[in-house]
Amino acid sequence: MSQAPERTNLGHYALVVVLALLATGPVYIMLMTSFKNQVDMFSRVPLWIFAPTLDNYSVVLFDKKFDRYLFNSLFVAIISTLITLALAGSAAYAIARKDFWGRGLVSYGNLMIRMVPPAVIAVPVFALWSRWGFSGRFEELWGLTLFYTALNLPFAIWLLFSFVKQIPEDLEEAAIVDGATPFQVFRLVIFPLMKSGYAVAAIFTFRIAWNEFLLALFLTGRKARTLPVAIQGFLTDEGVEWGRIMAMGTLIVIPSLVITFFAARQIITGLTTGAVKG
Amino acid sequence: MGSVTFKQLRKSYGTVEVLHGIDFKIEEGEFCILVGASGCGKSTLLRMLAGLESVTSGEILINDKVVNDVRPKQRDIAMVFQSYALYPHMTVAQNMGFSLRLAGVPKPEIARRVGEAAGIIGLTEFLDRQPKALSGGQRQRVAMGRAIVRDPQVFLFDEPLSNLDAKLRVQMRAEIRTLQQRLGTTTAYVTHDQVEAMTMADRIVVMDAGIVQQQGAPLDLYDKPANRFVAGFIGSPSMNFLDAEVVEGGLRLASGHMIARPVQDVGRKVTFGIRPEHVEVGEGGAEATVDVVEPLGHETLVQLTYGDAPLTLLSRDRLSLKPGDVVPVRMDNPVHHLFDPDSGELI
Amino acid sequence: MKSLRAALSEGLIAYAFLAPALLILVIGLVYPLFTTVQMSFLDYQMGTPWESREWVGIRWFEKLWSDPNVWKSFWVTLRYGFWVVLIEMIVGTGLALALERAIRGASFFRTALIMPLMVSPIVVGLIWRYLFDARTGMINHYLGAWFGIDPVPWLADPHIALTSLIITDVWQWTPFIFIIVLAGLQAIPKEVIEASTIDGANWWQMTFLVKLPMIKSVLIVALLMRIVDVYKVVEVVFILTEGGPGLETELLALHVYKTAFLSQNLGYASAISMLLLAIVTVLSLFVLSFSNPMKTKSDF
Repeated sequence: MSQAPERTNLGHYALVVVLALLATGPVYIMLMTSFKNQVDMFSRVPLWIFAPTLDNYSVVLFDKKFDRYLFNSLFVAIISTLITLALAGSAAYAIARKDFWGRGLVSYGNLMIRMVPPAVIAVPVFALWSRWGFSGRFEELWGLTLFYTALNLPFAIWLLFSFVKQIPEDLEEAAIVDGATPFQVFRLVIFPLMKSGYAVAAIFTFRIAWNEFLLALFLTGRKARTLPVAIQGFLTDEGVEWGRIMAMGTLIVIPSLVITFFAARQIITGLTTGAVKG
Repeated sequence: MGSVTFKQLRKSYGTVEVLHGIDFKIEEGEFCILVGASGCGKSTLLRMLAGLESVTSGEILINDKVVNDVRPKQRDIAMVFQSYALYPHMTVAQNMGFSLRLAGVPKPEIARRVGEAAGIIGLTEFLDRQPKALSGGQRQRVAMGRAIVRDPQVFLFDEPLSNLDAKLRVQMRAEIRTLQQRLGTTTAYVTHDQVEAMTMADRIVVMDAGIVQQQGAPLDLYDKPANRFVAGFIGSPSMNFLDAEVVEGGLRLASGHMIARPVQDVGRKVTFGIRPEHVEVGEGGAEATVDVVEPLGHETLVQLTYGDAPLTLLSRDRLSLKPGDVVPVRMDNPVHHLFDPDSGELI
Repeated sequence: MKSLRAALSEGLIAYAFLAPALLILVIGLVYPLFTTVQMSFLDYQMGTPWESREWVGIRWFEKLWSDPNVWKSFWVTLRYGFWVVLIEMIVGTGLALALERAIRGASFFRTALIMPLMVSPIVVGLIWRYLFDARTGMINHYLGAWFGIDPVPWLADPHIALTSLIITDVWQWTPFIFIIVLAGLQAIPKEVIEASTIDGANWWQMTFLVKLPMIKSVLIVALLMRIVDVYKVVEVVFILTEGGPGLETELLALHVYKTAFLSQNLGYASAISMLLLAIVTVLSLFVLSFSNPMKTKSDF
């Protein structure tokens, strides 16, 4: 913008830097603490320079159960993300472009269902869990995957809906005139043009499933425990093992940080979808 | 090549009827242009022919076969969209070959036919480009190439030139016309631009308010408009219309000026229509006030006020007029038209 | 009008595209919700077989009506939601307006701001519990070292605990408002801003008479999203205070949770769930009554 460049002064940049520090500071402190030994951690004056140690990580990583937690978390996050994407794209396409009885109900229902707090779902699901006979590690993981998929679908459908809306209808009509069946129109024209939408949806779906705590805590037994549930286990009555918590917290956050650094644009798209056009 | 026939074709959206019984035929190999203002139903008609809109009642025939319920892919048509509707994720060659690929044509055959079509439209060296790397005119050609590849019974064009700048539009007009003559494919072409219609068509179908107003060869429509709408729509600048009354020995314009022409029914009100090029500045004419003078070089366009009515004059001479001048204008050229003021029909 | 056959076949195709997603939604969300409604009329304890359930009519709702703990939790929830959403909206919007031009191209800044949003809520809870720690926490240390403030029992003092929760949420979610409002501001056509400059608008006039009215629908969607999401929060409070001290930070979602899994009373927990759902619905409809962005955005 050409107007009033003098207003963009040093004060603004100082504010930007302070805000960036505020936003990243707590995460940085976690990272730093995870490399501290027991003595440095409880030093009376917080230490910013210290001899880093990998002790906390070795405790966390060489616990033989860590592999299992990691596997469980990856299992539910990846599989529920894949299923969500597979189902949401075609549903979003139908809602955006097809004319069918119940379309209004489906689209409004989809919006309303996004409001439901997971805590509300946890209670009935817990009751249904045993009735549906989810027991044993993999049954529980699949059960969790089912509910994560259901929790993620409304948002994914909504997000992809806005991507379908941006594809000109002419392209579909051209494909129809070119002789494509409805499924070919979706597979050969719509789907390839929605790839960026799928990337955004994947980030958010994975984030929810990877981070989810509530359902996982109460629905899974020892063997199907995921990382967010496992980390909470370090908050014991005897004391809080901050070193291990921070090390494991860092490990949990790694995928999110990687995504944040490499896909900031997609994240912003996902956050602003529905609020801002385009 | 195919012919296209519309029989009493109607289209409604809910309770609103937008096409009120369309009847006409496009002969084999003919370049037929549907022209009208936006909202007249011309695009709907084309989309119904393409199979993108359903038929409410009546029939559409391609080669004397009713195609009302035939899917677009089985109608053997190809369509060029206003936006070109090129698939952005495919190369030019993939765009052009898409319909053949869907039809299960073997790859070498697709490559051969795409190459052939690319040669016809001059895109051979662009086959591996993405549409976004092409200029507007090139995209337009790809859209045509996509139609040519299929070698269909009928080409459909939906306002194909409206996204191009003026200069390119004139060039593409000629290209499309040449191409159609070379291939001889029956063509239905929709536009709102009467100049396009006049310059390209074998036959023009003028539509308004969901009905066909008149059809015929371009110059026939120009010379013998069937009603006031067609008279006003075809030709640029538009025909002048003045209120007049039939009196003994001719017509009396609202201003009192007389035009010698024998007409029946003394006392009848009529609308007098005369094209701008048939209005002249000359002694003995009625007096009009000059509003705007537009010197175009090879001709001069003058906007006047005559009585209460606007009047346009087009002269081959370089007239030295200024706004505010009062000049005598003659309207006794034998080429003029009389319309019924109520029905708009030619008298 | 489409012919019946065409409409029918298009409808069938649409259902084919929708069916798999609908199936999962019905099994994983709609049916559980329906079960919540059903269970709120049942006496059903955790760990007992489904067959042992008993129909109790509206007994849970009567109990809920006269249960001081529920109402305590209800007011905590409303207060929490009110302050969190208010602060985040004002701070997020204010910062977006102030920094709109300064951060043009400063992508590192946006990346930094997204970080809190991406961190797992459970980890957010743990980090802040560490920072808030009364004895070893950094917050108290620097408050003491720089401002001479005595250690504050952030999570243990009944008057402060809720504020600590609000601070944590504001840290995590203000960037969300900031990013949405920023995107809205950047979507305003440049010509409009230039026109208002030529018309002689100063910064305040430009902000309150041009920019904010033009992003009204953006602000409403942001508000709506926050209201919906703020009541989903359980993890952070679960880690930070577990609802304490007393019931000072017992958000309804957490209360539902405790009733179900600590008191093991699934029927009563379901009834409280209905109260929580009612709050979210009423607030959302309240916001939507000002303007319905879904209507103007699309025909969704």
